[in-house]
Amino acid sequence: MNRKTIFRVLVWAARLVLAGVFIVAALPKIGYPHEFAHAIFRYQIAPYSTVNIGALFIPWLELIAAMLLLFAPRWRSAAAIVLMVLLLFFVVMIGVALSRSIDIGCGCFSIDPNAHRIGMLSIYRNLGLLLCGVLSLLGSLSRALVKC
Amino acid sequence: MLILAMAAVCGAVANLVHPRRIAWVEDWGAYIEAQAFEQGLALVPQHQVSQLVEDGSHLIFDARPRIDYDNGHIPGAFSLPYDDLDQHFPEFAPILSPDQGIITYCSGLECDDALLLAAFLRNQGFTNVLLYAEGYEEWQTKGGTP
Repeated sequence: MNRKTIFRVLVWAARLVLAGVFIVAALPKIGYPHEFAHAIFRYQIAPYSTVNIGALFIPWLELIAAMLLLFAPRWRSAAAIVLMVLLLFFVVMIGVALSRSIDIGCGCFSIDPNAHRIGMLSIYRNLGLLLCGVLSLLGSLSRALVKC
Repeated sequence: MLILAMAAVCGAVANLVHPRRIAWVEDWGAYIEAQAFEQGLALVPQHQVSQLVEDGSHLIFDARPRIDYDNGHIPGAFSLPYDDLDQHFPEFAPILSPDQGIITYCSGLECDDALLLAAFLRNQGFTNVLLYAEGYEEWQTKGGTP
């Protein structure tokens, strides 16, 4: 395999991991919006008036961006950027909660308040996914540059 | 921008047809009190907590993480972090009688650890559990001594 092929394989692996994680994460939140709103509430960061709006909006943003990343070549760069912004947002939310010693369920993949409690592992996982986002974005950009 | 708009539209439409639809805006400030009411837990106001602290008739449990308890707590309160119940509850269980008066509290209306702890204690058979929902934030602002 030459370097180009290895890069393509890596880019596709990154896309699959990133999109897969976000799709798996979005579905329970869409199915149980009030439970997800409760997970947001427990972070004790969001103003009360934005909790439910966030619970309705974020999972769909995750799902749509992930689907576009996988199936819409023209939208891949934008989708990767959206997912990376979401990951950064999650890292900040978790970081602030940890700095305030708030020990709560992550609300990342499950709406169970006692599942996947936040910790440094949650931040490292998101940073790893952020790396997948960077790789996905590089793949899309390099393809666009070749076309130019 | 289009992705954001698509997500907003999908979220809105899904909520309109969802069997578990939620209010667009909810008063989460009243969430703890509403949940306590739903679960049949009695709420106790600050002045009554002050009185009970003076009387010494109730055990007071601080459901916040230990580090918050160490930074300040209601006088006479014991630390029983809801997140570490498995570790800490067995220390208290042998000295508690089923009719022992208990008050639980956490930071305030933004945390539900005290609510969850109160529900847990009631499920353990304790019949006289009170929830101080406004918690330590109000205790400090209303002149309770740390």
